[in-house]
Amino acid sequence: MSGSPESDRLRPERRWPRQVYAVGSEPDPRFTFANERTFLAWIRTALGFLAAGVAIAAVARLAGELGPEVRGASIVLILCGLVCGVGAFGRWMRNERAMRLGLPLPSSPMLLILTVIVALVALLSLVVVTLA
Amino acid sequence: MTTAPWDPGLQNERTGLAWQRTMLSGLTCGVLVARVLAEVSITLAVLTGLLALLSTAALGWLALQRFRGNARALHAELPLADGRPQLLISGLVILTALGALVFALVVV
Repeated sequence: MSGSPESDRLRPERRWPRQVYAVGSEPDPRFTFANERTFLAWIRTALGFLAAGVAIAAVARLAGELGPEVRGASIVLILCGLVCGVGAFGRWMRNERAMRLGLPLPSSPMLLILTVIVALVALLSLVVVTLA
Repeated sequence: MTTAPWDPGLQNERTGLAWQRTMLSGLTCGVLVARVLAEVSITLAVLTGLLALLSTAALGWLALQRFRGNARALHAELPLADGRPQLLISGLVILTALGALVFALVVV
């Protein structure tokens, strides 16, 4: 097998990003898989935010011009999606690095911030819908 | 007779299925953004739609390679696949978000 493209791809010094794979030792494969699935779940959350942001603007347009409150909520949701998409990669990287070094998993304020924003947007929607 | 399954918990398969779910979400979201961008610019909409289709196909191929490579790596106790596709996916999400932002900012 040595010298084939496959074993070449798996050569430890070829793995990227280096700031993850250059340190520590190989964790239990189950944890690596779990970290990857968590990353993918964050990506789906990001896509959900994007779809929601686009959808509220598209639906509001059916009733006429886009009001500033709907446009604002739409932009906030899309920005949440952007933060999730970028944060997903950062989290995956820091988690994998921590697992290789045997350190505790890093914490992140992302969950709290997103929860607060979703709650605020829901509250705003409730007010808008009630007054409409 | 084998003593134990070599991948208890089917980690590789579950992760492969998570890739598929994510690809489907990505395609849905990409096509949605392409559709609403048609209100702003047809060219932009067509480009976004093409990017959504092509990147989903590419990610599907990548996910399959990754699944097979990881299955071999688990058998041979070699390191698992690395983090390049993760960066690609994050980049695609950023592009989709930018497309969505164009719609939300420009549309009347």
